[in-house]
Amino acid sequence: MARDPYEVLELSRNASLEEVKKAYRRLAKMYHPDQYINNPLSELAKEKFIEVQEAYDKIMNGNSAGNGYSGGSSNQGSYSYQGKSFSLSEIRAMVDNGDMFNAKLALGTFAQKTAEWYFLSGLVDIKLGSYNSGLNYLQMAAQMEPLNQEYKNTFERIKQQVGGYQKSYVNYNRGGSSPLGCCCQMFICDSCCECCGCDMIPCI
Amino acid sequence: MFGYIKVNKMELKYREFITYKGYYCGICMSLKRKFSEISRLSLNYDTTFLQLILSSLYEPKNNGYTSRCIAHPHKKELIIENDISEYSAAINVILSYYKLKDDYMDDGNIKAKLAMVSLKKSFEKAKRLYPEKAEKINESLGKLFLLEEEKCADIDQVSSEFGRLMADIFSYKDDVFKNTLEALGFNLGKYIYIVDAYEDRIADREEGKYNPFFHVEESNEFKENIKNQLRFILSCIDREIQKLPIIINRGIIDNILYSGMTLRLEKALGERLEIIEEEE
Repeated sequence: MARDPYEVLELSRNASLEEVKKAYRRLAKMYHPDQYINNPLSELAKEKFIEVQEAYDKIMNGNSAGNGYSGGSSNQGSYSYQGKSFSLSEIRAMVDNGDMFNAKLALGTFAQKTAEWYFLSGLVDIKLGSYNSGLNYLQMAAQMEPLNQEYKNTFERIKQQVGGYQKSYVNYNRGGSSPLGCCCQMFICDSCCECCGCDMIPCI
Repeated sequence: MFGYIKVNKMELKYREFITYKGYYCGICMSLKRKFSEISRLSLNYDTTFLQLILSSLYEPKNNGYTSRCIAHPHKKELIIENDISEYSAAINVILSYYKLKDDYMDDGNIKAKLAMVSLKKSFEKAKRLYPEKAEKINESLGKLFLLEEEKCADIDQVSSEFGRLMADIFSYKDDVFKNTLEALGFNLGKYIYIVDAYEDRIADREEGKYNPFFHVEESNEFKENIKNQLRFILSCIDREIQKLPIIINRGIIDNILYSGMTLRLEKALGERLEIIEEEE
């Protein structure tokens, strides 16, 4: 059985993401195959290096069942169920397995569009990167069945993700005071300096 | 190509600015050395972002030095070159070449044709160095061209095609970060395509050029919808970057993500009249 990823990175289970990144950096550098060329330990180091990478990946991707396009295999595939028809619960299983390609095709065969159909279509489209229709479908599902907790939660998660970005944005811009005003001051200040022969902000 | 992904210089620390510029000049030097003098004119900020992200993630050994260049003959500038500079330079050449080709095909722009001819040799070399990438870029652009020919009005479809192109460009190596880099590139590509289409919609309509929003009537609802989508995409870009174990250059990346991109976006949405544009 694979070791606990936190253990591989020599961290405690409640380590912050920042600590995880730093630990990854340190260990990846230590075991990097380039360091062991013509060294009897090279095989072992390579194994360790891969283990560290996998542990890092497990923590980062296990942590956030995030929304949005996820590259790799989910958006490719071949339709293996020609001519078959599916129930929505079967399609849900495909979605859970990450088989978005077939789920999308199967959803296309439905004539009657229930709230659940909209919900599943929304999930699939967002994973496939069709954000415009995906977000609309999810909204539609939530409107048709406003009391459904699952639809509500999914919408909440998306809002949280967008809110997370917004928060970083506000933090970075220190509350979002008019940046243009501040730019102007900097610009004037710089122009004055340039007159005196020192350029604070040279052109790129 | 479009300048939607770059720093807000005014909010950078000076040392961060020098570093950012160092990467930019590093690609420029690579273009000169590996490709041609003329190819340096094609350098853009999106490629600089590629260089910045890959360099921060893989931390290759940097070759930093100061040198004069034709653009700034009066002063020595810091140049940061590494193993990835050549890749960024090649991608830059390939994209620029296809962009010119597209311009030429669009309206027989003779300037574009001339530039294309001058870039031809560099393009052939870049194709030789990275045949798979060149092939994939060509394929994606071919599909995009067809969608534009048939006047596709499905913003998801066209922007995703450009997203896939950028996904290919960002997946530099076949390792554990491939999926994250692909998702990052995909979302960046979508972002660029949508902002560009939105910003150009009125001019395109007047000139009778293709635009995915040609059928949309101007309304607050349309604008809100676009904004919501772009906000969601920005949050996806943010999330993918946070997944990468990047320690160095964080200040620059945050600046692009939380200030440079949004500043440019506000301008595209017509919410900010003018950005003080520095000369390039």
